[in-house]
Amino acid sequence: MNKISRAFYTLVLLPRRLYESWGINTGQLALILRYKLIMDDRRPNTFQQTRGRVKKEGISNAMLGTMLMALVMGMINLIAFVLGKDDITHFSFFFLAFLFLLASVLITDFTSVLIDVKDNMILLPKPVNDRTILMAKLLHILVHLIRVILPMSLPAIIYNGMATGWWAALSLFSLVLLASLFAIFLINAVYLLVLKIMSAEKFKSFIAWFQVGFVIFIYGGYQVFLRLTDRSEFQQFSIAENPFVRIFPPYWFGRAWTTLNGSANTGGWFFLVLSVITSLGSIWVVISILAPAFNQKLSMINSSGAEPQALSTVNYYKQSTKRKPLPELLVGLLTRDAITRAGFLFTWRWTNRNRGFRMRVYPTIGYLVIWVILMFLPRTGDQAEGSAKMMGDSFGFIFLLYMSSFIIISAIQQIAIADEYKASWVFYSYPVGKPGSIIQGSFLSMVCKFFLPLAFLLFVGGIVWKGWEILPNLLLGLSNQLVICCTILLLGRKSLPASRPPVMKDKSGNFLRGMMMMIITGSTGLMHFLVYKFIAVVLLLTVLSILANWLLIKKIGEISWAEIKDMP
Amino acid sequence: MEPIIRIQSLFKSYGSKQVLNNISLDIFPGQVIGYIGPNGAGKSTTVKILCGLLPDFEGSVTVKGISLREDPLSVKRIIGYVPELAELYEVLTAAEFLELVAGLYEIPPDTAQTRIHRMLNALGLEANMHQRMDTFSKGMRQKVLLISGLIHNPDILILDEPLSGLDANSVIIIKELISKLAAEGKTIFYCSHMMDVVEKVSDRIVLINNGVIVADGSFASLQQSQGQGSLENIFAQLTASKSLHDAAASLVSAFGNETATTPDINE
Repeated sequence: MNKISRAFYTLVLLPRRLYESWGINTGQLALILRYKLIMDDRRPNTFQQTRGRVKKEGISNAMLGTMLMALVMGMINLIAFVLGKDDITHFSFFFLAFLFLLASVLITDFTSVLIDVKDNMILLPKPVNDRTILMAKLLHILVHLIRVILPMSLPAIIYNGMATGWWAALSLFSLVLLASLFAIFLINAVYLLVLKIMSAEKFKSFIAWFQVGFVIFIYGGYQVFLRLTDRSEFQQFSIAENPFVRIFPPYWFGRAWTTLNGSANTGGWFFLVLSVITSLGSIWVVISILAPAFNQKLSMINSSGAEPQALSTVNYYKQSTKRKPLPELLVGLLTRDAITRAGFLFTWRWTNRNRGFRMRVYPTIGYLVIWVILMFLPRTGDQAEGSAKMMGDSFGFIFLLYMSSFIIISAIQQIAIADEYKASWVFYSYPVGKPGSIIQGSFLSMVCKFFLPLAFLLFVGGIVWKGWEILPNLLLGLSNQLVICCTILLLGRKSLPASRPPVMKDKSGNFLRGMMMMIITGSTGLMHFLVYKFIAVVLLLTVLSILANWLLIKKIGEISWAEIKDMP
Repeated sequence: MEPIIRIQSLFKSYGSKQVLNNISLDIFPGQVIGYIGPNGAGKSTTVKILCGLLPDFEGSVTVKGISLREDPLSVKRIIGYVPELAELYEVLTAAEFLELVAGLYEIPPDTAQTRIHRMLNALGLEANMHQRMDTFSKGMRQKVLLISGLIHNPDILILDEPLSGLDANSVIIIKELISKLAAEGKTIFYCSHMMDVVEKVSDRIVLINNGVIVADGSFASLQQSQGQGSLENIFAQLTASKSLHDAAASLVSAFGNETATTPDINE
């Protein structure tokens, strides 16, 4: 266990008495948590190569990168302190942003940890009760999350400490911890409640869609909330003027801070108590009421990789026998040799049926849906005028065009990660000259599945919205999306599909890395926007972009064994 | 004598598929039960229910008079389970993994350490105890699993294909171990496809097919009722629906009159 983990491990186990009063066996809890954290620090040997040497357990660059990104997000959150005219508004916005980021990291990166069924065969036959196992899982997530929570809240804590004093900083820090508990346990409570009322079988398909839905809900609420506030009045309004905000938790935490810092009244104390009770209360509800059903249900969910399909014919084959199924039709058009074809079909089928992949990729679809809704959301007052003058609506279209590439980028980045990574021996043991052929097939498969449908929608939508004159810009945008994807694939760590184990300590970074990827894509989009009106330039760039795609896809096909890092 | 395991009218289904269909079985202390059946017959499901891994079954299961449904933790303390698929936390060393398991059984650390050393030593793994298990061979993993099932000195040992991946010497050790444990009064529930081993180590054989017990008795009594022959023959007689020789012949003839016997990957 590294030093950071050890410190947090000690910290989260401090309320032993409390845990015991909830029926948790703290000895077993500490043991399970300790070994889980030890395991997180050790990367599995992909093919049992290095002989039993225990790796140096230090703080990895990936972890530092994640912490740095969280720090940047925390700095961006400081914007909350210029919104509105009073502290209650500042802190409500701060907690809104904080809870939004935390909930997104939890849902996109940690659902798979909670719903992990790898423990079933090891922990469940042992005399450990359900509450202990569930609490161990939750504390495991918490220890990893503290690395994100601390840097994310640090800028606000320092800012308030300098502006108001040490008590302001300390009370904010305590409320941040409570808000984190609130987010972690509330999200788990939702999962557990659903698991309690649904069959395990239904839950598997539910969870992926819940992630998409919840992301839409949180992110949409966040964006709509900000947009509906008129920018010209940003510094004069007070959130407290609207009675409806009282039902939102960020307001409770905001009000709790102001109560602790000089503006205490009966209402204030009510919200302070409410913040504490909901945070600790949600833990109690999760452990006491929902935990017992949890492991039973988990044991019914089969091992985390592929879902059992043995008893029913996969939909793919149920289709009419006269017509070729879609993937086979596409593979015939796009691939020429048997290996690329195999890579294409494998990736298509595996991504259709693998729960882990869906859980990692589907939420990004949620973000895109929100962007689309926001594009068409009517703006109010000066903001609308200002933005129209500043950018024109061509910017919005280009923005949408480039941001939609986020889905395929995320799919391409996740295609190598699999719980059942060991099954990739098939690629290594068969007579495959260049692994690039498999990767190319896999890439084309992802393009067909995640890029083409979206490109079609953008194409039709673009023509309907802007008319035929948008065509050159549309083609350039779509082609650039593919160039970005190819480049990311070629510059990143090259792997065969489903061949790398998921690594726990990098998990908290997925969402934040995604945000960074958006910034890169966004800046490419911005450059496109600058040449938007010069049709001749756009046409020339389109030709170059298409040529680049042709070369890059060819290059993917040429990836050699020497470039595959996970080779046995 | 009171049975140590009593299974009464056990039913279990996955969706519309009925996996166990009215299984009733009394197992007595010191018995070595060979639990056999074709793939998909319901063997592993029975084992998972006995180990408390599948709580939603119909019927009743009591172990040493304790209802599995009402007090699964107490039952789990009495049972040692060696699963078929070597699920292990591979990034841990063998010693670390066994310390974890011992801790979950709440064995005092000193006692656990002594047992871990002795048991690893007995199975020839003392030199590997501080190596990560992702470097282990299948047989080495199987040995670690076996120790993890025995470490708390259980009254009942459930073995699901325990010989899988073991070399001939290790097989001899395990067979010897089974008889020694039985002699000490431990009850062994032994699931396997290796008929010759089941025939030798079990004093009672239970054959299950399509979720129903189709034969139950000693090897000698099975021979009496089903005709003289090996357990393999009795097994085939009771469970195979079509000729096994035909299946092999069809497999070989699957190549047919193809012009190329190996796929041309560069076409």
